[in-house]
Amino acid sequence: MFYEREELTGSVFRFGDVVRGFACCTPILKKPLLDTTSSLYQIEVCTSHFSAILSPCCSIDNEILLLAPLQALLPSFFQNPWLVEDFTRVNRKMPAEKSVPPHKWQSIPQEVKEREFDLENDGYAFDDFFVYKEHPLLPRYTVNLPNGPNQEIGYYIVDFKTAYRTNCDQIRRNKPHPVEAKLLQLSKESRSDLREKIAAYFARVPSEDRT
Amino acid sequence: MIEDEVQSERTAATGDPSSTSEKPNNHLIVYPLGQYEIVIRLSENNSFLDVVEVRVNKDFRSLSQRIASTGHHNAEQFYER
Repeated sequence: MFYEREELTGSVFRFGDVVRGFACCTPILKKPLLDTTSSLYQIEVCTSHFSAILSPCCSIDNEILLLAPLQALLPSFFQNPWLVEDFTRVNRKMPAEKSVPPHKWQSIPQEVKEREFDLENDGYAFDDFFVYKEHPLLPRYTVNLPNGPNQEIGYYIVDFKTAYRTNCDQIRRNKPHPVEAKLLQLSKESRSDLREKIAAYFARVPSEDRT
Repeated sequence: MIEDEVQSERTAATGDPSSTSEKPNNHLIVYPLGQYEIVIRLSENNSFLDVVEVRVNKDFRSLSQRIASTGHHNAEQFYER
């Protein structure tokens, strides 16, 4: 079960919830604003239809909400039949040979496999992404595939790189949250998957920092 | 060894004729509790029967250490864009 049953969905915001009605504001710079001659910048404001809450449950307070927009699935996912069976497999660790299309795996030289994959343990692929399963409350859309018929699906992804902050007066501990903005709540298992994957996303140690 | 018994009873539950378990319908589960692991015997319908063993979890890594050691596959570069 990917989402919590409706009757068990709480009236407070939780980590991983799908919400709507929150504006997204993104500064766009040509270069850092280090002096008065480089003061040109744009601010892009959008109202994402659906966003996921990335604030940990205990940190949903002080009028601040960390969100990331729900986006269309990556067309490249469709190249891997194992992922097509269940796109939410992206959310969990997987064997190395399952993380790429089968014909690609066979063509990768062994030394490249040893360098680019963890051949001894299951691991995460698509580190930046978490997949939200289709649901009647989430509109279906068409994915344009370059090498095949277009697909109509209801799966979405959250890209951890696109997280943004929104301030909202109604986000306070011990105060009613704007429950009308809450659409879906992850099940405990799915929320655990999200927590572990986003933690692993930030916990990656670059090779230059390894002793 | 409890591990052997867990395996034996799991085997019994799958109907493997090589099993010698006398309680083919019971099974054991390992429940993590902090730094301990509780081995619990359940009946066929998953009712609690008894506690078989309390043992120390020998994976002494913290959650952050376990996450830091998580494997990663640099798979995206092998997909066509």
